[in-house]
Amino acid sequence: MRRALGLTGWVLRILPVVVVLLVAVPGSAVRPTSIALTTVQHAEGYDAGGDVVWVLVLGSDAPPGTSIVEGDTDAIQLLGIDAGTGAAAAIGIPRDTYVDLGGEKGRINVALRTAKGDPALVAGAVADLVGISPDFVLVTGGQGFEAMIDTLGGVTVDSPVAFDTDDGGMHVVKGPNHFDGEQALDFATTRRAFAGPGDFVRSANHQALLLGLLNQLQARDDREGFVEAMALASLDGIDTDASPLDLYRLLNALTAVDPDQAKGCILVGEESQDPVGNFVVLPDSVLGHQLGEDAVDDATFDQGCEGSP
Amino acid sequence: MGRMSRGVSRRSVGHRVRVWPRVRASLAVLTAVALLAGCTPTDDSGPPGPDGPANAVLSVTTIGSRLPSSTRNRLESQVSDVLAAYVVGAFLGDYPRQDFLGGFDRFTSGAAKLAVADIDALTASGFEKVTAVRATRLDARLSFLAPDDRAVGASAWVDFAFDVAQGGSTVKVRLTGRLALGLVDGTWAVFGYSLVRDDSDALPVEVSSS
Repeated sequence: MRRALGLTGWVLRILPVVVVLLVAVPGSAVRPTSIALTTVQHAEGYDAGGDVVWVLVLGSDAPPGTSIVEGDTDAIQLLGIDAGTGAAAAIGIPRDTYVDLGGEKGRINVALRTAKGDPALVAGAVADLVGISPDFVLVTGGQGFEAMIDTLGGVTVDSPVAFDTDDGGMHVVKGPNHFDGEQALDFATTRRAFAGPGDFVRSANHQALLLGLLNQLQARDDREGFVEAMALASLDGIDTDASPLDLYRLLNALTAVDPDQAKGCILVGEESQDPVGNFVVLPDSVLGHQLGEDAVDDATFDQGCEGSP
Repeated sequence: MGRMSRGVSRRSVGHRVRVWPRVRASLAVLTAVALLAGCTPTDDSGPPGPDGPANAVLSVTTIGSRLPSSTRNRLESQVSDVLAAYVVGAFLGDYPRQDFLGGFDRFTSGAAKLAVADIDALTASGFEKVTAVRATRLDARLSFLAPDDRAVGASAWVDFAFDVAQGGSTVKVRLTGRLALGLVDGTWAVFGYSLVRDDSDALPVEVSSS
């Protein structure tokens, strides 16, 4: 009630001013005008082939001039994308993770080479670890990786720690770093800079890099022809069991991922040695299946990443 | 993406593409022929109606393509069919009506499922007491993914505008953004969308100064 009276009082106070203005303005008359009421809605959705699509992304260290499937896959990330909700999950698997490779035990990073490029062995090993069978396997080598990053216009990576890279001696600051393709590869391959099992931190760095790539993709996906150019660059730089259309749909689905709903966990484990003394990581199988069960249907980690660095 | 340097279809640039005479097959597209054939966009005065201004013609331009012109023309026609089916099912057609799901007939099943949740943004279903809808602009720019000169995917960057007649007033609707299409089992289908829907309702207001 006080507000109503106050409003009336305000109107009465300014009424003389309004009347004076109206009388004083020459040529004033009844003038129709319009008020534009605008409602803006954004609708976005992509069918990537399933409610949640799981993709195993492998980074091969095969040297230039050799087939990328002949290298060790030192970067291993299982990505889940729910294009309907915009959620995305990444499960990082350290390269030294000790797994069953078709009846023999070995480090997971040799699985693709052992199987002569057949992705079934590494996909099966990942399924054993987390209970999720990837829909597609993507393998990229250094050159293809660099080319894709450069096509994107570089990538800004939010590094959780400062360090100097192993090969190039590049200094990475804590926080945002903008890399070209070569620098991004240097960032991704560094492991000796970190204490303890360096691959845990490196796997986390890979996820930071993937998040940076996602941000970069989404910063440019409103440019006509960009998604198609990225798809072509990916087809050139990636060895995959996905068809070009599958890859294109996947890339489109990534444009709908909400970076705030993108979460990564690392499948950690205990340091150990194999029978011949090689360093290996015995994976925390309980954690692996917990992460998989948690994320398989909605690409989210409701229970967090307990055990991850 | 300079038009001339990136292989823009002269057919598309030179005049509005008359996709409709080449349109075949589905009932939705046949309806599109009836509704959309004819004129280029006219002014948007007055509410649409059977005797009102005609619908705009779908204008399709391919950007950044090195595909042979015959291939490009064929692809443009095929994708135009998909876009026409969407426009007709989602916005045009006979009114009053309640069914707008036909707009998603050329979507993949997964995309249609997502689109149903966004039906108010993607169709005219949210308007009440609509008597007619007229297209005032139907422009699309296509970018094809064609590894080894075989097109498997495409983005259709659309700029569509409609006049929606509701009783005595007309609401202007603009739909811009991207439809993502793929060649699924030999047929082009929409598998994704990122569209901005802008509805402007001009309300007349009188300002009295005497």
